[in-house]
Amino acid sequence: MKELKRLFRVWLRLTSSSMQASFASRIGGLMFITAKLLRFGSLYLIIIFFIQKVNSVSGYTQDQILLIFLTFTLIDTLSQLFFREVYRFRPKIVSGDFDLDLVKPLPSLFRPLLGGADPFDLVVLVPFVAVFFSVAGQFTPTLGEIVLFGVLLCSALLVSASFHIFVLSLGVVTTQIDHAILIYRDTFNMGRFPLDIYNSSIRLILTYVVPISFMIMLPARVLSSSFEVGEILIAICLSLVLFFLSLGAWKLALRQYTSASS
Amino acid sequence: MKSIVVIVRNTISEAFLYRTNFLLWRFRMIVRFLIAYSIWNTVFETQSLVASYSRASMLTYIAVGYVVGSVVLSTRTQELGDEINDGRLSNALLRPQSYFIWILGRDIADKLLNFSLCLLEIGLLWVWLRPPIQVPTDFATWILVGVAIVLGSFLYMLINILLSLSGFWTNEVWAIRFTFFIFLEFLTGWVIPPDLFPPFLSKLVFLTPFPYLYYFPASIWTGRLVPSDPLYLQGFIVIGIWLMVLGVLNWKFWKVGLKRYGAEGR
Repeated sequence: MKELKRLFRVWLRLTSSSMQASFASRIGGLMFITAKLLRFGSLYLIIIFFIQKVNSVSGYTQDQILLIFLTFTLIDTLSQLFFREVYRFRPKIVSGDFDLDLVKPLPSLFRPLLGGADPFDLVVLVPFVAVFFSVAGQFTPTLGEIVLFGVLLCSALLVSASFHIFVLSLGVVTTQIDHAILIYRDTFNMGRFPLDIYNSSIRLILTYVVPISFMIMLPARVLSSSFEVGEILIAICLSLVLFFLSLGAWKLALRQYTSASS
Repeated sequence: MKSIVVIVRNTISEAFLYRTNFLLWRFRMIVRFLIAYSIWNTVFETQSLVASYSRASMLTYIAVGYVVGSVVLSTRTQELGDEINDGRLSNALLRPQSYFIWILGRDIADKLLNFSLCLLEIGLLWVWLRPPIQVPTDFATWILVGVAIVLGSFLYMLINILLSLSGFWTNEVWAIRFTFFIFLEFLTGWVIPPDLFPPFLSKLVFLTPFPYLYYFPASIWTGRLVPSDPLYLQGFIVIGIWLMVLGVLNWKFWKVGLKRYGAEGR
């Protein structure tokens, strides 16, 4: 517990530094925030235009499609908020600066994975959450369903963390990290829409390889009261298994780290 | 001409040196295609028409748009911004050759590579998914699609050069480019054709350059845009105007920017 408090204080410090660095250029910071808000707003409008033109998509109503999209946005934004440092890992490996992280009295994974939250995503999270609550509120979920949604949200973030750790491990071994993380992001983007639109082989991949079905669809279905308890247990178990596998991959990768550039 | 051929050859060799990066980029394009294709394929399972788009015409639009996008939207001009910021532009300026010839050569190489791989990908995707693809029967349509693609390519190149030239004034080139990509994502029509937007928004969008990068050539191919359609001629006129405006802006900003260029980092 004491260790967790210490790590939380370190994370707050790193996040504060990240914010100061990001807002060093105020215009750049404003542009990023505006662009992220524009992207959310544009995609939201596009989906509404799309829904108005079509009768239904795989039997999902308009509100359900919006809820799935908003759940995707929430999880995606939270992932990018916490794991932004992964995108800055490759230069550290290539330059050897990762050695400086390894000698610090912190877990080896701490700085590469959680080295400071993205302030831009923190700012845009506020309107996202407001829109999310307004759409989710239409389904009038019970308190139990809200709690289950919270649990599944944590499970989704754990899966996201696992994939980011896999990418970090790949980065240590090969330095090929940029496209690997973007492949994960692009695959994850397939969860913007109900997974039923994809054919069976793609759905299989999106359920058991990159478990978007459990990360996005299941939390949305919990809020709309169409779920089974078994699915929630599978989601939690899957997230824990993936997480421990990713930690194993990281340990293996660290053994191969040679610090060739420092 | 000879120098362009050399630049194209060297750029292709460079791409094969960093094969993984290039192949991973193509994988990402396939994922984007699958999203758009899957959405519309599912929609047409329950309805036969969406705003006069049939299943065949919409899926043809998505497939052709994928090929068009691989040519028009592939570019190396984003490197200019980084070269300005870290001083590597100095090396390019010392060459006995116009920097724009250099960029043009690299863009041609990138488009050739992307187009070649895209044809292979669309072939494999067709074997897997068997979408109903409409093929134009008259030669004039093929020519006009080609013209639209070439014009769209120049349009995109000029837009990207202009964005990169902001590097003469700021280090935040990526912030400007990120904002541009947001507009690109939604206004080019890769998921939803802009003619499905509400009328007032659709009219506004067609005054911007974005639909002419993807929607316009793909719609000529599918026959959605025919010569008798007002948007057909308007499209070419709007492209022409944007090419002139962007060309002038690029020239102006290049001249002014070079005077400010400090080769920081060198």
